[in-house]
Amino acid sequence: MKSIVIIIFTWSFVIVNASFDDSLKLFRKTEVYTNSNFNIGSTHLPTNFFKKLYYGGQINNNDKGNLEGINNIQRSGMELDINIGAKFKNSKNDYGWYINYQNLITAAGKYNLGLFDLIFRGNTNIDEQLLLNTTAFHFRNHQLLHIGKFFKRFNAGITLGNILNESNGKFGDQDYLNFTNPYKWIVVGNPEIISTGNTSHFFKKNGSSFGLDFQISNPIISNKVNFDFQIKNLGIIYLHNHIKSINYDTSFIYSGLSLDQITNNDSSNSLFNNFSRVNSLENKILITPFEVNTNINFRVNKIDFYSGLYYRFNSQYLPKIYLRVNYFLRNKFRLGGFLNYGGYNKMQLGFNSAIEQKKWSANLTIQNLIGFIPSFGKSFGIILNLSWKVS
Amino acid sequence: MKNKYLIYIFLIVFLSCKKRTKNISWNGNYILPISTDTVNLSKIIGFDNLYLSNDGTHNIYTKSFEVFKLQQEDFLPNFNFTVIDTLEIPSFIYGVPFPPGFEIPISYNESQTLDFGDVKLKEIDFNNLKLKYSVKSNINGIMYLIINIPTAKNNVGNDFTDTLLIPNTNGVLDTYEGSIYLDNYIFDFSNSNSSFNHLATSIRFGYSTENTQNTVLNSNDFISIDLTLEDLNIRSLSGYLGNKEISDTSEIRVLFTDNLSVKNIEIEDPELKLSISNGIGVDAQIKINEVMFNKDQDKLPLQHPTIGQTINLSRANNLGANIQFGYAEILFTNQNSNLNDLISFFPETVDLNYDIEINPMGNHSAYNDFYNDSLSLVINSDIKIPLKFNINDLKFTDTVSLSLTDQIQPNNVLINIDVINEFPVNCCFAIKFLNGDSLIMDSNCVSSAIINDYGIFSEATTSQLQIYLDNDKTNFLINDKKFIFEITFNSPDTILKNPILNNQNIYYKIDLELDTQIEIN
Repeated sequence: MKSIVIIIFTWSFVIVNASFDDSLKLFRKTEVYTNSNFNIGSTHLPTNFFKKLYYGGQINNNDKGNLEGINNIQRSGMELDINIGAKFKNSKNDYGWYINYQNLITAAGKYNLGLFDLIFRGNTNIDEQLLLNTTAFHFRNHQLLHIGKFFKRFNAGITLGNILNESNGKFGDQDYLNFTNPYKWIVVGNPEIISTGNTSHFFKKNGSSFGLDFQISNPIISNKVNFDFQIKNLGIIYLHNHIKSINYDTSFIYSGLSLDQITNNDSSNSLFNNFSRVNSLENKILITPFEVNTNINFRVNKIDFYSGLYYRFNSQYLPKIYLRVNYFLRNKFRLGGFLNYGGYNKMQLGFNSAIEQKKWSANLTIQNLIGFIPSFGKSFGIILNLSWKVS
Repeated sequence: MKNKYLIYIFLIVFLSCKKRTKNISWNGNYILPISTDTVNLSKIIGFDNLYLSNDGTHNIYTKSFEVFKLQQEDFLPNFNFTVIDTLEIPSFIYGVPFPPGFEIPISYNESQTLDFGDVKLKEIDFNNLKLKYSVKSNINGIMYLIINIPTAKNNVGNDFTDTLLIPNTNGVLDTYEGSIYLDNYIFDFSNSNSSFNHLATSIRFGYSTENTQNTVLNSNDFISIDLTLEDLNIRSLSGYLGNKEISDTSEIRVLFTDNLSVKNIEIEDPELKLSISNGIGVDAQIKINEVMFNKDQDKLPLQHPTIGQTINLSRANNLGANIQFGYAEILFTNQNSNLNDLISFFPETVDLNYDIEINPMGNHSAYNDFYNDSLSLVINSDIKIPLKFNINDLKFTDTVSLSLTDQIQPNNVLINIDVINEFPVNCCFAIKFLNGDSLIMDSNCVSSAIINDYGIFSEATTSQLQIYLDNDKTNFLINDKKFIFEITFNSPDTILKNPILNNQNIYYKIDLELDTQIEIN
């Protein structure tokens, strides 16, 4: 705890000192903005699957994706990232302060395909051992407040978080399921699952977080090529109440009931009696699901080339690589397309459009054009950024 | 115009956020283990007291259980030990002022002979009992009463003596009641070997030191005491216990489960032995009027020459260091009874109707009857059933409950059964619905193990059965939530009695293939 206080103090000192000269000149140029990102996708499931999970309906065989090797690692997930903020700029230079409220809701799983098949197709065709060693999942709902200072070349700030939900789970390296013998199920499981839920209290939640934000932008190669690197919310989550966990050996072999159990209707050896969540009295400290984003872009005449890498920690996220091309129709309007690989998907072909007026600007990104065909596309995502220069 | 577009966009977004109206559902094919077990004869029939026969070819089931035990209250009367004593105050002490702590120098001795019918008690040793007292008094001042029972001795030989404090009545007649709990007291009712049922008490009274002034008795003063012995927990007693006839019926639950029935079973030399032992120091006659074996509403009586005949049972003899029991024994076999029929009947209960007469010859022992609570008149049975038999349609039937959550809605079901049979019996499986319909199965029988010419197990047989339930039958089963499961056992032939050892097993595995719809909210 002491080290956390030192980090907060030191970081605040840097920010405050850096702004001291300009402190009286704040609020001369103010810009409010909202950035919203909704994305749902999978490496193997069409978006119809998620649509039916949300709206209900019969999940047919097409919705379950292709049959592949049962131990192929797959990812599925969703993210809803809503930001509302404001930047307060100095009129003479590009220094200023920013404040940003972020609601981050993400849910994802990384698993062997066989685990999905087991649930949604059944175990009839599972003829080999199903490994669980890569299986992990999470669900979170965080309210985050970013406050910081931005300069011409870099930003720095802190993130204070309220943890509404944080659930994390993963299985042990040696864990597996074996249903190859129809008369005997073997389950070797040593999961580490923790979960904390929301409270009805407006402020008093079961967890808090603290993180640091940092961004550096720098032109290289005679201002034609720009480099950008950003870390967002790098810090810790402190779960301090109502933590439920399953953190013990849940292995078992199930061969059905004995004759006595059948004739006496005794279900004491029932398959489902073995698991129960334990209320943990210990506090938990986790690393925040920080984001790392690096970009490089250069512009040739009316074409802007843009390439980068994005990653979110502890979210079953495959680092996403992207390549974008934007064409400036006029200086204030641009259209573009891009290729993504990673995240909760494989290859995606996206579309981007932006307009920039004197007082306002808007940017709309469609993450995957094929996602408009729900029976075929494996992801669907929209990013909408709006900003308005107040003064 | 722009505003109109904005409204359209808002509506589309809003309508897209509608809540789920349909359940999420999908189809899957699942295999799950239903049951795996190794079953031997102990497990099927439900008993495990087995030993090996002399020739080593089969096990023999033996079990001993208590059929009947004469209880204390069955043959001893309800003893009413009550003494009522009015303490007469002599007139010469009227008007004499007695200081606090003064005891009236008079003992009120009471001696009573209690009436217990023809029972004449010499002595009772109590584990514990309760002495209940009720004092009526109108005497001014706080008094004490000293109760002494000189013939009641505790385990160190002291008389029973206790002091009761009676509050000040202020001249108004009042009653004070209470109880004294006594452990390990022996009451001598013989009055120094001169009498029976004799109880003596001695009572004195005086003024408590708690009084603050002298107290005067007058002619209106009254005091009386009732003493009663209650909650008698008798360890032993002696004397003459009287002549008594007892007729009763007791029900005994037996080993067989109601799941079993058989058309015919031939068992090699079963035996049932009834041992009657008398641990009470009284002569007795016992007559077993009827032994009725019951299963559901069906009844089958035991037939044997001793049924309805009087059996004389000599008294137990107290040899000092130990007790010599009176003893009688009846052996039931296939030769002298219908025992084989009774075993084939697989009874659930047995009703034993009997008459017992205590001391049929009267006071034959000259008041030397005795009873000790650790010993009684007991009928024990020992049953011996060799597991060497020929069976014809031995059926194990059970109603199996089936409960599926609403989320699972099977379309059709395939049940696979793998069996390895080491029993010298053919087993056929049947599934019946509650409406009486049977499920038709292509193959439903498991062959007997291979046996030699003497019927002895030689080699196991392996069988695989499949039961398919189509959509209609599956729905029927799920709606009924119950089905009747029946296994019928038959010996390979109708003559040979096949021996079975308890290490011969039926190994089985059952799995279920479920083509099902799963639906969740």
